[in-house]
Amino acid sequence: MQPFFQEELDKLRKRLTKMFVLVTVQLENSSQSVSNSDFETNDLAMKNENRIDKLDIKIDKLCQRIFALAQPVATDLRFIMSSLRIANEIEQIGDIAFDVIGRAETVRPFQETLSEYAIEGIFADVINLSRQATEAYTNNNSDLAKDIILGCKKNEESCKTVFNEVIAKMTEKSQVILIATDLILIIRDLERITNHLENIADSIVFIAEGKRLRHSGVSPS
Amino acid sequence: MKDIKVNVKELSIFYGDNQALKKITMDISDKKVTAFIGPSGCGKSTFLRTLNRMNDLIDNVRVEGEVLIDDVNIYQKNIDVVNLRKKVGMIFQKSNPFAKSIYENIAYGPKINGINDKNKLDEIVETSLKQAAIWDEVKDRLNNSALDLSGGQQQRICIARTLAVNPDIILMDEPASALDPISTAKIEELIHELKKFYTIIIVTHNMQQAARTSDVTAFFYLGELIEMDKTRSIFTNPSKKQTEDYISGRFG
Repeated sequence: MQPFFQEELDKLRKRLTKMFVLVTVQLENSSQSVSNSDFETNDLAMKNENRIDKLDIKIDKLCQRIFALAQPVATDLRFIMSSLRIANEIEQIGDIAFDVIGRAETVRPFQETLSEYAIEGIFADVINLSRQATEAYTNNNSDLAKDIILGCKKNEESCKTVFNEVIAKMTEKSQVILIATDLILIIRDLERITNHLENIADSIVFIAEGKRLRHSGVSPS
Repeated sequence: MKDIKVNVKELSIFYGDNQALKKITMDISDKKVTAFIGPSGCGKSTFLRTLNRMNDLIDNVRVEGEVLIDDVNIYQKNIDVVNLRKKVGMIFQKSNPFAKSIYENIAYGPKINGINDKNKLDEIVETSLKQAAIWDEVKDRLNNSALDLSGGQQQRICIARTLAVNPDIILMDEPASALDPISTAKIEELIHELKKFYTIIIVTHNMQQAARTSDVTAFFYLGELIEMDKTRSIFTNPSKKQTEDYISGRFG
């Protein structure tokens, strides 16, 4: 194998791992923005968002260069294709997490309501799934990726349940409509993030095993 | 099975004491392109030459096992080797047209097979050159020497010469390795067209060429068939680590 090619693959892995780390920090920020009543908006979130976007573009260019110059095949091909997809998924998670921080201001004063629906727990699960995805990608661990897919499905169910509960509350008590609307949006955001994490895990399985689990009807277990 | 053109069973080839092929078993599909890949000395060209008994020309060769083409073992005693080589044509790495006119190059095979009618020969020459996608380039100079043509054109003349004797199978031993990218693209395009009518087996060191042109790829290493599968599977998700290492350049 040409050293140039290996160096480019290493560079790709390193850059994507960096994106994983940044987006996990961004998810922690968004969690704090909702559950910490003392949270103050700072420019760290904005900086993170910019760095994630820049890395996404850099990865795009890097993959384009590798495809053009090295014509990768087999595992290398799957690794590069999937890294490109994963970078895109992370970029979208970053955008959603940033939106959550923007929305958090309305719901932050209502910590009691947030505890009632265990929002902090859902955030914690999402952050944990993101950490696991980082590990699965870095170590090419498809078993862990399959666990993540199962974890994501569980989390999506939790989001749906909370969503329905909040809707029921809104019908029951019109005074909560204002905070509940933002809460619903945050729950939807968490569901979307989970969905992106599931896509990422599916790509990690694809790198290692050459098969896609999503939409194939195959259970990850 | 009707769609299997070549059926190889437990084929071993020995050059003196040296075993070049080790119990190869494979089926080659009719009217498909099958590519043989592997490092130099892995036995792929030896295997290719086995399919039209070109190895008979080498001293000290011993063949064990069976090669069935259309269910007939080509290594049985009463096989007419000349007829076999007519049925199984071959294109080599270096184009080797005769030092004759373009017309004579193509008409040569049919003539030695007893066709002497001028109109019939004209028809064969035109059809073969058209099939080899070179008719438009040479139709006005059929009496010029084939050696005056470019390397890529000469290779297509050789393909036309092979087609003129109406083969079933075409063996290609690195047919484009000495050609520039444009001539290579023409040969690859031609392979794609020809597979509608012929079974094509190609040996190549160019991974991208194998990936582009073939339906099935067989990977050889040290005289053994390591893996044979649909080309799209071999190049996206091979099942053997040795194949993976070879096609991704990590070999050795």
